[in-house]
This record gives sequence, C-alpha cells and structure tokens, in this order.
Amino acid sequence: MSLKPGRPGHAHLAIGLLAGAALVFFALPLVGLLVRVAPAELGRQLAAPSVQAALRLSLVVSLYAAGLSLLLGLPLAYALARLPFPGRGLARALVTLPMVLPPVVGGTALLAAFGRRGLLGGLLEHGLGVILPYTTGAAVLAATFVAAPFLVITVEGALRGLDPRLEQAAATLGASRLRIVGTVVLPAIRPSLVAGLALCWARALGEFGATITFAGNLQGRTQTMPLAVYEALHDSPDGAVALSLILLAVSLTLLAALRGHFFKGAG
Amino acid sequence: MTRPRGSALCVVLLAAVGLGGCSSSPGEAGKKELHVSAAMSLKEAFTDLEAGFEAEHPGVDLVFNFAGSQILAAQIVAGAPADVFASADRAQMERAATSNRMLPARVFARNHLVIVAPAGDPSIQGPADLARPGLRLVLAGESVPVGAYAREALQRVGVRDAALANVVSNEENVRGVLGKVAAGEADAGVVYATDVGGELAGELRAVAFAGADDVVPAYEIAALADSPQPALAGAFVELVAGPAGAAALGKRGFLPP
Repeated sequence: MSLKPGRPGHAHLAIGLLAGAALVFFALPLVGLLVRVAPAELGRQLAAPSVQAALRLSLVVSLYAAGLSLLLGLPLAYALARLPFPGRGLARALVTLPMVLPPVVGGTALLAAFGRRGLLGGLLEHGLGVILPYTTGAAVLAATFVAAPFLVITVEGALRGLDPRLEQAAATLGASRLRIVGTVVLPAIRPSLVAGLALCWARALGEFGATITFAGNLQGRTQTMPLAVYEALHDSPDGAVALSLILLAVSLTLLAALRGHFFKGAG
Repeated sequence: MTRPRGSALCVVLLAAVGLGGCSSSPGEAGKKELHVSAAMSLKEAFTDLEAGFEAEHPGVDLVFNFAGSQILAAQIVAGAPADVFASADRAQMERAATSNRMLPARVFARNHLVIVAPAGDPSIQGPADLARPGLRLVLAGESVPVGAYAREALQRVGVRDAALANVVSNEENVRGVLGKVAAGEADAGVVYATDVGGELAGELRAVAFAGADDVVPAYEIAALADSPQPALAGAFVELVAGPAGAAALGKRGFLPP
C-alpha cells in the first residue's frame, strides 16, 4: 500500500474506524451482560451452594491445570527451543494442535486414550484401579490438554529469542545446566513465563467442551463454572447472566493482579 | 491501492451483508421452511414422517431441531423462531408456554423407562441394582424430561438417594445417556424404551424398570401462535396426532396417548 505523503489522514481514518468497530464488537457483549444482570439475582446466585461448588471447583481445576502445565510444559518448551532432536518440528506442531482443535474433539480424543475402553483405560483400571472419566482428575486433564499449549508456545518463543551466549557465558564460568536454567534462563524469560501462565490459567478456567465430553457434568465434582453457566442457560437464563458476570469478575481480578507483568512499559 | 478507506469500508459492508444473509437463508431451492423443535427421543419417528409431509405439501422443507426439551423450551422463551414444539413432558411445554407463544398443547404419544447397561455386563437386573455402591450411573439432568422421569421412578422404588449418589454425570438429553453407556464409560443409565432400538442396540442391554409402571412419560405437541405459516404448522400437528403419526410412532415403539 503506497501512502502518498501529505495524505496520511485517510489511512489513519480507516484504521481508526476498523479499530473502533473491533473495540465495540468486544465491549458490547460485556455491556450486554452488565445491563441484563439483576443485582438481586447476583446475590442469590453467589449464595447458592451449587454456584459456590462450581466456583470452588473451577478455581481448583484451573489451578491444578496451570500447575500441571508448568510442570510438564516448561521442560517441553525448553526441549523444543534448545535441544535439537529428530522430529522437533513435528513435536512443535503436535503441541499446537490442541489450540486449533475443537475442544469437544479433544475430549473425545481423551476418552479414546484414557476412557475405560481407551488405549490406556484398561491398564489404568485393572493395573492401578483408576477410572479417569467423570472424575475431577479428568476435568484437570481436560483443562491441561487445551491450556498447556498456551504456556509452552509462549515460553518457547521467549527461549528462542534469548541470546544463547548468555547461557554459554554462564557455562564457561562453570555453572551446571540446571543452575544456568535457574539463575540465567528463567529470570530472563520471567515476563513471558508469567504471561504464558496467565493465558494458560485463563484458558483452563474457561474450558468447556473437552471437560463436558471427558469429565461429564456433575455438581461439585466436574461441573465447573462454564458448565454451570451452560446448564443455567436452559434452566434460568437470568442465573446464567449472573454466573457469567461472576466468572468474568474472577478473570478480571487475575488479569488486574498480573497487570504489572502484562503491561510493563505499555500505556 | 490508493483508496484505503473505500476498500476497507467495502470489506466491512460485504461482511455485514454476508452475515446478514446467513440468518435468513431461503432454504434449499427457495422452498418454504417449517421449523419443528422436537424432543431428542422423537428423532427417528419424526424423521420417518418427513418425506410424507413434504410430498403432501410441495415447496415445503421440514426442518427439525432435535434437542433436550428443556433446551428447546428455553429457546422458545428466548424468542427463537419455531413453528411447532414437541416436548417430552408437560413441564417443559408449560415452560415454553410462559412465552405466550404456544397454542394449546395435546398429548400425542407415551413411552416407558428402561434401564440400560453395556451389552457385556450382566450384573444389572433391575432398579435395585442402581443403588449398588460404586456403580457408575449416568442420568439426564433434573430439568431434562427423561431425567425428571428417572428420578421420579427411582423415588417410586425407594432407591432414589442411593442411586443419585452413584450418578457420575448429568447429561443434557437422553441420547447423551445412551452414548455414555454404549461406550462403556458408565455402568448403567435410565432412558426411554424407544431409544434402545437404534444403531447402538448391539452395544446395549435393556432391563425393565420394574415397579415404576405408573411413571408414564407423555409427549405433548403444539404449534406456535406467532408462526408465520399457521396453516402448515397446524397441518404438521394434525399429522403427528393423527393416524399417520400414530403409525410412525408405533413403529418406533411409542405407546398411544
């Protein structure tokens, strides 16, 4: 696009119009929720044991999922960024897959792997006495499956952007591999790590499709907030609006808490 | 490109027109569409009626929306376009009627409950087995008609609390229950007798729900008062409640009203 000098106004106007349309598009549904909610309903929902159970479960499941993503995702991101191994491109594609897969497909795939008649189901049930589907553990696995890639991709990107000479310098000074990761690499990628973890946690908190498919829908055990919202949508639409606002408030609180990390240096 | 504003506006306008077009698609080859929202369990029986109805009303395309009745009722209350609603229980028909959009309803078929278990598992013999500790039971949710009937039936045979303690998932329609049991992920479920004959029949074993004979699921149908094609909507209701409907429903195992 050739912008003629002296006529930048047109381009800015077009960008401004579209950006404004985008903002309205994102803001309007939130405004809709705020307008629709009845304050009395909000209080009633917050006091309901089923809602408290769903809220508690959502926090537990999403935090476990974020923890599990950190435990498994950090080494994976490091391997993808730093360790040359055959099939690394394929591995990277595999990690991105859950991000583009419809979550309900992810849930079906989890059943095919960990369900009672799945690949590992028999081994789990008869070897370890564990039946995963329809348990809180299944909800955690479902959330981890869809959310961990956000952490892995973010951290891997930061690692690849990190100057390897920093690590080489530390190595020449005699630091062990583990010490280098702990004292050089992790501090250097901390903002990305925090951002990746926040994205991962938020995605886990909002997880619906894989959860209802793999973990089912039972109050207190697998009915997280998104499932409760969906069920309320059919039983009490006003309740669904109130529940949505509660979930929104929880997410906003976390984002605000992380604001320092997210918006460091930006307006 | 020398006119960025013009082209950007064009894109936006085109997108808006395109999106708008989707919401009022004229159907196949400009046919008139009749929208029937029907309980999931009616899927096969109603689909059997489709060809005959369309042959009798040329230029009409019958479009079904099958889901749990509680979902369809919520859609009607929220103003979703529909011409006819067939509910698997009175409660959801009454809920739909709170929209003041429903014409008077009538019962057109009945059903009965059965217990299903995976085909290879002979351990379930009757409702009392649903109370066995550690059993993985799947029901439909409380507001789903078959879930409400199942809870009532469990109450009738006196195992409600013990059985509900075994529930591992509340499904949003009867076919969700059926699928989980057929897949072997659940040990048992409660569904309509008419659900067992489908393509999952080979995966399932049905057991009579003894002792709950007086819990009789009853299906209600009504046209919507704000249907833009009231004559057609009425004709479909008449078809379902008439002899042709009775034959199609009977063939699929439904009981007469």
